[in-house]
Amino acid sequence: MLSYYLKLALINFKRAPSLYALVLLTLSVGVGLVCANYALISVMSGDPIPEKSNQLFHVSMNTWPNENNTHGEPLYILRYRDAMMIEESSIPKHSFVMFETSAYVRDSASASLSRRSGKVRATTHGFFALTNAPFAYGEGFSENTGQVVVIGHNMNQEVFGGGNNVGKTLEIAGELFTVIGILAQWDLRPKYYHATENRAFDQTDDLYIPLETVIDQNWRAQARTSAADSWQHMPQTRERNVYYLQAWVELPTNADKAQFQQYLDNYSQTLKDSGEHPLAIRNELNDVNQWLAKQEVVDDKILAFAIATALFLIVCVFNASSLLLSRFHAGKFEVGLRRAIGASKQQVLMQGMIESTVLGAVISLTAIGLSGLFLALSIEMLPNLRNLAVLNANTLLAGVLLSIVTANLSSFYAIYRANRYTISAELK
Amino acid sequence: MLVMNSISRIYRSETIQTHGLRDFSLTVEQGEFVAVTGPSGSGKSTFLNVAGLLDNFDQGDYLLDGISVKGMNDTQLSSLRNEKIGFIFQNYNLIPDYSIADNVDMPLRYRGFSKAERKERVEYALEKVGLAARLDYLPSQLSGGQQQRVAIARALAGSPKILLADEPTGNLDSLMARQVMELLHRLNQDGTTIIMVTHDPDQAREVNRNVQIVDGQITDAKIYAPVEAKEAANA
Ligand SMILES: Nc1ncnc2c1ncn2[C@@H]1O[C@H](COP(=O)(O)OP(=O)(O)OP(=O)(O)O)[C@@H](O)[C@H]1O
Ligand SMILES: [Mg+2]
Repeated sequence: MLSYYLKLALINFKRAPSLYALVLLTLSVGVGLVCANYALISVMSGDPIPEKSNQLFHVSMNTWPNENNTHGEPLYILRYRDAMMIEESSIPKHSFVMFETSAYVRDSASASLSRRSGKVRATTHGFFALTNAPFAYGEGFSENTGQVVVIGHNMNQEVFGGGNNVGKTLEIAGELFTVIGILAQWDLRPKYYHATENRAFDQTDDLYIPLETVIDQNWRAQARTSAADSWQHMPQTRERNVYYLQAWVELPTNADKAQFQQYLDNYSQTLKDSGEHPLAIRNELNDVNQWLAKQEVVDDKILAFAIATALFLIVCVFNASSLLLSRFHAGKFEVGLRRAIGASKQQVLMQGMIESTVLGAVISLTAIGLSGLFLALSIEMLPNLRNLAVLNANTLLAGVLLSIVTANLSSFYAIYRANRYTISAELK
Repeated sequence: MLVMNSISRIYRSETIQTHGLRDFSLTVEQGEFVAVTGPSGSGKSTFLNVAGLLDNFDQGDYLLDGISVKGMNDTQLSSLRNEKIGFIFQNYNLIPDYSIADNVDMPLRYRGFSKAERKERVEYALEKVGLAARLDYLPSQLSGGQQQRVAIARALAGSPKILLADEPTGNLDSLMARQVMELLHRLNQDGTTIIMVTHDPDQAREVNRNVQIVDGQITDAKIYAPVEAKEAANA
């Protein structure tokens, strides 16, 4: 019977190709818009490291040295001595503290003097194990010092044209660094380890360099910095109240987490006892998803737009519905005839639904094509969506389902009507 | 074959009630060929629609081939319609863009027959109406009489117990009407029960039983005397 219904569906499409094309277009535009929007939301609200997102914690502390803290409590950035206290602890399985900066880069062996700008992650060595950074070649560093660098996939392409370049030398901000590791393509959405300052959808970094080396080179943090003391050179920040480092720890069990929380609180209490902690003790551990929620990486504007696109889709469904109703009027006689020769209402309903489902399947193709186009256009207009506007498997599946559901919804009224009137009315 | 007992069918609109059938009783035996006559608007089509399970009724009982249809749900009624009844309409009601074979095949699709059986039945039915050679034609490529014979093949294909025909020759000229009538007689001789609504007194006369409906009820008043009665009167 299914093959018969499919055959009837094709015959029906051939009878009114332009009408069905119109329905297809109408619903494709509506579904395509919703899908494009859903793609953004699904990437925005995705879990970037599902295998252990509930074991990785961002550390916020309340160690601001003056009573009048206007920077928000607790601070998500830490000063060097607090950060080192975290690094010294053996409770976390892995940990790292880091800040973001940038530098100009060239292949030191190249004849060309042209340099390109690269985003630098100045970090302690725990970064690679904690984030499961994917290595294509080589490995990460195991000290927080040294003239070594791990480079990202894109930087490897741009500077070396790809391939294994471990052991080669890069000139970074005028200094020579040995490449010890090269990452594979790494699409981290959201980039949870630096989700503040609206950077959750930046691309992953170009250069990963030991923290102490970067501080010694005096490359300044290019992210939020708050200072209670004055300073001029980065090395001074090791001793002074300059807040610019973000810390992440990996705590596999609840016991580990409780123990580490206690460790932080004990540290703060020691500071308080010596009169160095004027504010209330408030040390917060947020796991990846809590942290992303706190940073509101899912933009309110996108959510508002989602409602608008959903309403638009409803309008499309109504339009398609009235188009299909005219098909029903043209096909009334045939429905009556089929009923007369023995088709049950159920079978007529089934035939209608299979036709709609076939239509929906075709719509899903054009709709997904259109949503790809919409995303490409939105990148054109808003380049900072580049790392966000991708159609993942979730979105594709949602697109197919939504197409089939909307096609069925659109034809629902026509099918309902076809099943309502007495059969004899159409047959003479 | 068909037993109707005090059937009434009332059409209700906001302002008026029309009796399509009132206290209507009729028994038709297996193998009969019944001509139903009566003035326009008297309820002939209503009777056929109720008999064919295309329309429901308000009161009374109806047994089709020994089965009481009262209280049956749509699926049961539909499969009963599919198995036991063949319809022939005044307007043929063929689907214009289906081939002759596909038109005849339609009721078989809802019966769950295998492909081979459907093919066999389609060919057999078309052979019976003399159109076996036109399997792949479209309805528009046939004459009106031929189209009606295709419609009869469609009604026959599922080997129904009873054929219901509402003015089957109403759209045909006399020659083509003649062919259709001869075909119906042949089918009746093969054992198919036929109930036919007609306005043509000559057609009514040539079948073995006449039923006259006036105002939703069967009446005895003979407006078209059967052939034997006429001959008896002449003698
Ligand atoms: N769907 C309907 N709604 C309301 N009234 C109806 C409906 N169908 C039939 N009727 C009424 O029921 C009565 C019987 O109609 P029916 O069609 O059975 O007559 P008929 O004998 O077949 O007439 P004709 O010879 O003109 O075909 C008529 O008065 C008609 O107006
Ligand atoms: Mg009539």
